[in-house]
Amino acid sequence: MKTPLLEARDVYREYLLGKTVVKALRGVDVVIHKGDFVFIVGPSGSGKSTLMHILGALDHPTKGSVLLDGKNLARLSDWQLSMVRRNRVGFVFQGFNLVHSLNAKENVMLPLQTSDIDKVTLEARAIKLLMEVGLKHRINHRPNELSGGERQRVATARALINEPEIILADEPTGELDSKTGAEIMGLMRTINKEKGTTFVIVTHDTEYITEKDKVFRIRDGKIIR
Amino acid sequence: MALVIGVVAIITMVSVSDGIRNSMVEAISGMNGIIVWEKDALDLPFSCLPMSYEKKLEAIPGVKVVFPEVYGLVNTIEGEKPKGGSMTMGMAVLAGFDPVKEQQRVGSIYGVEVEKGRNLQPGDKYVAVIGHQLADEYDKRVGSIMKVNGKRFKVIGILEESQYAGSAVVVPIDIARELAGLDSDTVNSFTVQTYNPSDQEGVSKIIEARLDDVDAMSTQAMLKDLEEVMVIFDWAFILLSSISLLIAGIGIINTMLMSVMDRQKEIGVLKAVGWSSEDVLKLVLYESALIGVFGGLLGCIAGGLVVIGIENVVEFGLTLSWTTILGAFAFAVFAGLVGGVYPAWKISRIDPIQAIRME
Ligand SMILES: Nc1ncnc2c1ncn2[C@@H]1O[C@H](COP(=O)(O)OP(=O)(O)OP(=O)(O)O)[C@@H](O)[C@H]1O
Ligand SMILES: [Mg+2]
Repeated sequence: MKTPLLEARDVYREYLLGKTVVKALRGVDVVIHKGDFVFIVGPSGSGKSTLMHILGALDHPTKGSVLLDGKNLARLSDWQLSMVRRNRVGFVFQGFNLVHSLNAKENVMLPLQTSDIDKVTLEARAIKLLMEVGLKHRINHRPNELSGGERQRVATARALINEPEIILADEPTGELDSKTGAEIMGLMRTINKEKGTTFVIVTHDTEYITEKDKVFRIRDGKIIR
Repeated sequence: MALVIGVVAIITMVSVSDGIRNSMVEAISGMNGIIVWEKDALDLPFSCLPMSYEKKLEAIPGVKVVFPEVYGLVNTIEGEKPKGGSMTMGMAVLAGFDPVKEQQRVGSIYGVEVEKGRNLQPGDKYVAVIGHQLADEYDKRVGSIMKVNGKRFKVIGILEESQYAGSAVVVPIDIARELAGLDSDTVNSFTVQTYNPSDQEGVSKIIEARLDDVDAMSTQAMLKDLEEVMVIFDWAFILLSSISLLIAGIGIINTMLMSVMDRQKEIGVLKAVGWSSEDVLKLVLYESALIGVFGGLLGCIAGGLVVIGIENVVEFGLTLSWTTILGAFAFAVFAGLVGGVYPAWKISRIDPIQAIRME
């Protein structure tokens, strides 16, 4: 059998909140293959964001392991983990997390700002991506000069700048009207088809899910069938 | 900002120290010889020696020439107190030299050449060689008449520009005695020149042994003493710089800490999208070095203005060199880098998840 691109094995994540232990994830198994279009659905507080962060090499499981290409992320150093995030993963965070002091183009360039790629190439690539997500006229706007949908597009373009193998999108349509939401979702499906990029998407909007997609339902930190 | 003040302090301090060193060295090496004066006298004008010592000094082996000298203060010029600007370290000096002996002088008066006109000659009476500053201040040329302490003098020479002798009035020794109220068989001091400068110390010792009511100080020995004093200056300077560095460093730590704490969320996002801790470290260090560069530039400009300002008011001989400015600038950048280390290290360890979840 082919090695999965990304795999979570019996992952637990507990937070210590004062003296009480919050169990955000309790034994999650997830297998994602290259080219998959995966949805994670579940009620608020069920652990969706936590799982996304762990899959994206941002957070560590308290117990269990995460494998990228069959290799355990726990074995990587802090620096190697940032290289995984920089070179292989694209993240669209819940609530965008754009840098307010930078304009759209600069926000998109951010992940590769410290890489070896020269600034001119990087800038050209950022502008091209912003055009692809339909923000041709908003390249030099700052986040507070953009609408919610436009910010969402900037966040998506930022996740694409490093040409990642896998994009993790946490509620990318959460704060959008259904028309803009459908557009963003369509954009992601196009990229998935054209470039073979793997997508993992957290959503509440089940209407975007088709039969071919893989869906993980999560409740109280556990995957349910 | 502490950094700017530190840079200004260093520039001013070094300029003052360099200035003192330069003008002292200039003055001392200008005298070029052994100065002989009355034992324990406060200063040259307070010393009093009999003219008969001239022969005794000339008899010492190795001695080439002995200059008898009279020093006094210039109390009035053109009937009034000397103008403030014409005074070096607060006074105008009247010097009486022997015109006959002047013909034998190797080098020049105080190490300063007569730029226009001539030096004293035998037979000169009420004539004067005056300092450059005095000539400017009172608009005197060779041939002008100048009233000093109530007497009319013909200006026969003007000295080249210098720190030390800018406001000197050099007149024949008999005339100086008259103005200073000194007996005709006394002088304030002698300057003894040897055939060989390296004989200075030995000859000084012989002078002190033969004439027991005098002090003999060779310029060579004075330069050595001066270096010792200047070492204290250097230490004071090192201490001051260290304190400035400390204060400036703390200032920068504080500024940078506030700046990075304000940007916790943004810096966390940088890490989340693939910046390594080292990348963040470099960014913050770069920023604080930049503060150092700007603080340094500002400090150098302000310091330069302060030094020029002081110099314009008191003409103290402050010496502002490029080495000083570059040194102070390097200090500022260094303080910036050092001050940035802790804030950079601290923020580079931020947990990106925490930043992402921040509202
Ligand atoms: N740093 C933390 N400290 C303590 N508890 C935390 C922390 N982060 C998350 N949690 C808790 O873990 C649980 C899962 O949170 P998570 O953000 O993964 O939920 P979610 O499914 O993404 O919710 P939503 O749909 O509202 O975004 C929640 O109960 C949350 O309060
Ligand atoms: Mg969430």
